[in-house]
Amino acid sequence: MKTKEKVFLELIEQHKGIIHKISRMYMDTKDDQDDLAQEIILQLWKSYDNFRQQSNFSTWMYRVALNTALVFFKKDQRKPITTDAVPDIPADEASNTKELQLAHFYQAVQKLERLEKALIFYHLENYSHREIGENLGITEGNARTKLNRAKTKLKELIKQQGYGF
Amino acid sequence: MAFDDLQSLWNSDKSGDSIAIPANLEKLKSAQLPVDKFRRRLKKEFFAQLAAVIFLGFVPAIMTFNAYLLFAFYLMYFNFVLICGYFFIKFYLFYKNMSNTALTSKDNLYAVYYDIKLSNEFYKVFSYCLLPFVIVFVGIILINDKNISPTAILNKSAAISQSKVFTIVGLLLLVIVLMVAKTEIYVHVVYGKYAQQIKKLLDEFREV
Repeated sequence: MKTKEKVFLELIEQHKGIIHKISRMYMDTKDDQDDLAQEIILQLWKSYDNFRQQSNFSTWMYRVALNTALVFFKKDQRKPITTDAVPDIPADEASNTKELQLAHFYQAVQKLERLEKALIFYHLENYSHREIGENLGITEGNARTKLNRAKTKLKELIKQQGYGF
Repeated sequence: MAFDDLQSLWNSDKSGDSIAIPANLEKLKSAQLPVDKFRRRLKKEFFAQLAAVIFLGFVPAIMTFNAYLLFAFYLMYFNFVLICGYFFIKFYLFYKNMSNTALTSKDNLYAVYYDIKLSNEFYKVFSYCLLPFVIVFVGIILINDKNISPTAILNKSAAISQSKVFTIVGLLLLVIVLMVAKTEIYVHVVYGKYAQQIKKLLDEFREV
């Protein structure tokens, strides 16, 4: 294997959690999530030559991964799942409770618009409004307004699932 | 659950650690991105069109054309090949042009939207450029098939029955309708859906 490819795969291995999170936010079935994760890795590899070493790999990766997710469409033959089943997990087990909360979160996120998902993602990754705006190509003020709306919408969606904020 | 709880929940999510990263990148194939889909279709379309252009060159030999129609046919064919060649080069350049996914999301979407629209318009122009040639080719083939002398037509002394005229005009109209329908349906099916989706997405980026 070439050195460049090896280095790239090592970087992907370190950051695969992010690819998984984006795939889970944008796609509702396991098959679609796997397809999106594969597509993200492929697009990252195709763009790897454009990556400038002086910038942070994860910053560059977030942008390429989200840009891929934004224009990734499901295979037509697959039926969309309209009701994501939240796993029935006993609430008294701490780790399982986290799983349950995450399942509620991802289920609610599915109902957001694509741009809203990107805003929530950057917010959860601790990006400032200015950084979110820079990455998405919108103004800081627009990023703030849209993010606040997306957060309110997400809270409502989670509440509707009986899991209040 | 407060939003801060969600933040810590997000940070503690390690479910991605279990995903498998491919050992070899050569095995990865693009599946779903609209521009990649167009590129694949473009490649198929290129080979289909190339086969059609080559086949058309052998039509006079297959149908044993009259000598006086050969010149007219190959004169048109030469122009036809030139136009096809021009569009093949354009399609090849588009095929090779890689979108830079490291742009800002909005710029990236505009680039994708532009690629879709450009590809869409190229395909339409290409199809409609070929339409007059196809009409002339079909006309020449029909005249040859019905054994009508072009000289007689020019001298207005050809004895063409009304039924022959109706057949020729009817067939030519049918060819026009089929080509226009094929172009419009193809463009709508292949590009229309994605163009709408990307446009909708771009609308989400508007200032509020």
